[in-house]
Formats: sequence, C-alpha cells, structure tokens
Amino acid sequence: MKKSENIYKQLSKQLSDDEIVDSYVFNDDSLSDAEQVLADKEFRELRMKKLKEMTDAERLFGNLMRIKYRILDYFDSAKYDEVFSFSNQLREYSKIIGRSNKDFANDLDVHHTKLSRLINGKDSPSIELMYRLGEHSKGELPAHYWWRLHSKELEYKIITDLEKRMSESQRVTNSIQIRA
Amino acid sequence: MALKDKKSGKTLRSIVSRVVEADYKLISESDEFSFDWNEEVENEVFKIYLRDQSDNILGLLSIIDYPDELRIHLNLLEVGKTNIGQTKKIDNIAGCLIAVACKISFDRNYFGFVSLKPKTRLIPLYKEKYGFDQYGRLLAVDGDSSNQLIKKYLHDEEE
Repeated sequence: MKKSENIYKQLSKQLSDDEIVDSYVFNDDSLSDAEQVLADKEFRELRMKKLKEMTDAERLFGNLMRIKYRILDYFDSAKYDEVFSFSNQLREYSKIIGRSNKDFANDLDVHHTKLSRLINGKDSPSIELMYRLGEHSKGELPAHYWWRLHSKELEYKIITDLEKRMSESQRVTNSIQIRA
Repeated sequence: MALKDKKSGKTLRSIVSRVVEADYKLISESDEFSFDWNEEVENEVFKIYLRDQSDNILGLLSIIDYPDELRIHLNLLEVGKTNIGQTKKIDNIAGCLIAVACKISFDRNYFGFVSLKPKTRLIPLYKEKYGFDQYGRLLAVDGDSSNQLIKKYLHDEEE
C-alpha cells in the first residue's frame, strides 16, 4: 500500500475528511512513477502559462503585498532598520508602480523635486503626504503605516543623536528634583 | 496571529519560527506528532507556538522552494494531536501555517503562489476551506486568494 494511502487510512479511523483537512497536508503518492512524471509536467506547463499570462496589475499586486508584509513584520520587531526608513520604502513603492518620478509626483500633487528629496531622505514627510500615499496604494499601505515607518526612524534618531541631546541639554536650567 | 481559543473565541498571540536541530528530538519524543519530521530536515520547517510557550509546539510546516517555477510547495503540515478533531482546544493552526507559506511566497517574489498535492478525495475540501484552485493533479493558491488567507489567519486588521 502506498504511504499516503496508509496514512489516510490510519487518520480516517478517528477523523472525518473535514477534520483531516483541518489538521494535515501530506503529499499523495498514489500515482505510478510514469504517471507522476506526466502530472509534474502538466503542472509545470500550467504554472508557466499562468506566469506568462499575468497582467501588470497582478504583478503589481504581488509586489505590493511583498512590501506590505515586510513592513508589517518590521513593525513587530523592536529594532530600527534603515531598510525600512520612510525614504527607502517610498523608493521601493515608487519602483514597483513603474511610473516616472514626475508622474508619481503628479499623482500625489507634490512637486517632483520635493518627491526626489523625500525619496533621498533629504526632506521629512508631512501627514498630508501619508494620507495621499495611503490613497495612492488603494489603502494597502495606509497613512498610518507610513507614519509608523517615519516615527520608528525618528525614535531611533532621538535615542542615538547624542550630540543633539548634549547641545539641547545645555539650554535647560532648573530641571526637576527627583529621588528614586 | 489568529489562533483562536475554541471555547472562548479569544484570539491567542502566537509565534512562527524555523525549527532548529534541538527541536527535532523534542518532536520525535513527543506524542503530539505522528509523522516522521526527521525526514523533513532538508526542507524549510517551521513551528507555531503560543507566545511564552515556546516548548509547546502546536503545529509544524515543511515547505519546498521551487525557484524556477516561482512556487512554494506545502510538503507536509501537521497539527499537534491535542488540537485535532472535536476535542481540540485551539482553532486555526493549519490555516495559520498555510498562510505563513503564502506570505513566504509573496516575500520571495512568487506572487503568493503556493501548491499542495493532496489525495484526490480531499481535493474538494482543500478548495472549499482554503480557496485552492486545481492545477492538474495539484492544487494552488496565488494572488488575491493567497492574500485572503494571510489576512484571515495572520494579519486580521479588524482586531
């Protein structure tokens, strides 16, 4: 008896098919070697056809989800990662949409030099821009994602910019008295 | 991740991580898993567990990457015995693990394409439960269907 059939028979003693599907995925090995070669060939052809026939919109969706889920995973981590700075993610997004910098700037109603400065990390984003990016991505990268990218970066800068901290602390007098 | 306490319906926070060498011994000594997971050691194998309970593996997933076909194949998935059938305490373990494979597929630029090769009689159930489509003798999800699984099982933004 084939291994998968044996497994299925064992599981079926205690579980319904629905319960098996709810708890297991295992490969069917009921085909002969020759049948398996044909099945693999058929699958590969279907997969390649699917890839060939993919529309630009489907490719864009796949790329957008890649960016989205990487960002969400980043939010789950405590550390700041420069790859996920606002400017770097804006650059990623501008790459996948396949539009010129000028067209993209026009979509967002900002000047293209302003967009270049944002992408190059030379300018800070406004909340208004974050809303526009949320709308531009059809809500897949909503304004608050952009805000969190920016705020994690700001938090990191505030913690690590010792020079700024020193210079600002010199301007403070009469700080409060506390005892632990 | 959207594991649910079956009794209360409450969402349980969980973690998915790669199985490391030390885990294989624990898995084979445990009564929770029937498959020989040592056979999966060459594949990418993941475990799911509740936060703060890393020694209590709830489910396992083994995937194979087919880069030339831009595809992730679900080679084996098993939920621990405690959470199988009518007496289970936690729901959605398999769904979460399938969604992990979908997420990996998007991450590797495979457009969410994930395949599996189930027994013929189980095909309609995988199609119905997880939205898989038929590709000859195999099943697969991609694109929006794959994303729906991620949204349902991993990133429920309504919560």
